[in-house]
Amino acid sequence: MAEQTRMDAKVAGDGALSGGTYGNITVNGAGSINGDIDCLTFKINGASTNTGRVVAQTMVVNGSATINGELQAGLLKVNGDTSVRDGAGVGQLIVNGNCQVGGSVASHQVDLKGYLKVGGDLETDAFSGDGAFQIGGLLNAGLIDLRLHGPASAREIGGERVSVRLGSGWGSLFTFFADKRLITDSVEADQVSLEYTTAKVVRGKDVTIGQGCSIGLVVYAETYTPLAGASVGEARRVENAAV
Amino acid sequence: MDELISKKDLLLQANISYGQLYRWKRKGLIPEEWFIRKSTFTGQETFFPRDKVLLRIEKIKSMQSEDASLDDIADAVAPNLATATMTCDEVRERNLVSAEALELFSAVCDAGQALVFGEIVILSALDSLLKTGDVSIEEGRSVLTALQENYPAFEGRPCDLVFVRRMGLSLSMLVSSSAEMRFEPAARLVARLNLAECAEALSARIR
Repeated sequence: MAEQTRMDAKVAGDGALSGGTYGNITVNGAGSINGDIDCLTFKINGASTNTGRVVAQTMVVNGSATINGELQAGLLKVNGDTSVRDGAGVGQLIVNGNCQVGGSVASHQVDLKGYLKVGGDLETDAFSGDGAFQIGGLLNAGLIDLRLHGPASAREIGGERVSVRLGSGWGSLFTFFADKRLITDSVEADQVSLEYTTAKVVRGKDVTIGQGCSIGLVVYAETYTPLAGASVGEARRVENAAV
Repeated sequence: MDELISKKDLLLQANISYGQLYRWKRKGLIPEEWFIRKSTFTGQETFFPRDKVLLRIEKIKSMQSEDASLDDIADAVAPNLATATMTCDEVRERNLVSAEALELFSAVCDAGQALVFGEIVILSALDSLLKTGDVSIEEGRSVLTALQENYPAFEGRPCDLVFVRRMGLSLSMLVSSSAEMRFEPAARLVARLNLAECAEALSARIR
């Protein structure tokens, strides 16, 4: 099929677009987009509602966006509020505001400074978090680097390196009274270092359990370092070079 | 149902780390539906279909020792179905399916143009049913229609072809691979064919 010419579209004020292939879409007022769209950039400065699937190379939300379908984007930057009903495949996900995805998220890199809620699994190569999140399924990331500034939870966590610390600095001033804690059933990774985490079981090669942790069972293969202020029910060493 | 292996035992037996397992899952080297969550007395645990997952890990490791990248391995074990095309003549020459299946296919579809990989998968699924004698040529026609109309709707998600017979009547359908099915007593499940496995076997032969 020949590449269609991609026309730019702009909604200023109150307007509607129909689905199709576009170049750059900008919504400055209130836009409703009916049908699946495929575009290069999708920028929302006001409010926009999509019925159907969105494919965009770059999507930037400064206002509020609702997608009643699934999302495929090279880059999604959420400065405002975004909600996706189904799953999302996003190369790089940057959340400074509030982002909610009903299904699962597959991504290369996630930078979280706001709030992220995922109904299914979140899979990414690197997850760097300074905010709060809630993941209904598995958080699977090569590198997980969290600084807790609020409540964080995932059903289970798996990866190569997992590091969880208490957030500090200016960011934490605004969330002084928030419950800064990670709650999960299990953490499984090669290198695990935790603070302020509640988990039933932690499994890893090298495990460090720090301040504020409440862990039922630690299973480790090489090193285990409990620090002051950690509560661990039981720590067990396994003779398994693999784990 | 396949024999299951727990995650802990899998790591031990295959001699891999959690990091490797999760990385391979992310890259699509180990399919999502092999991670089976079950309640045990210690809480939720994850299990795998034992033979399949051990075979897959063996393959990943052997490809890694030949310096293949994870993306190359992903292409080999979970082929991207959209890219390959072939004409009917090529399919015949390479002896991918029997002449009967191809003939049936040409009768129903426009066989002049190149077949995309999905169509070849359909064709080989039909072929294997014909070969086992589970399905007659005439019934093959309806199977083919079921496949052609519905296989694209799954968009590459794993699905099974199901063929049921009841008192001389036959019915074919596509269901998602994870679906569990129960039939009334008089009905008989003649065949259930995993199309993802068909595609995998086929891609190995095309390669």
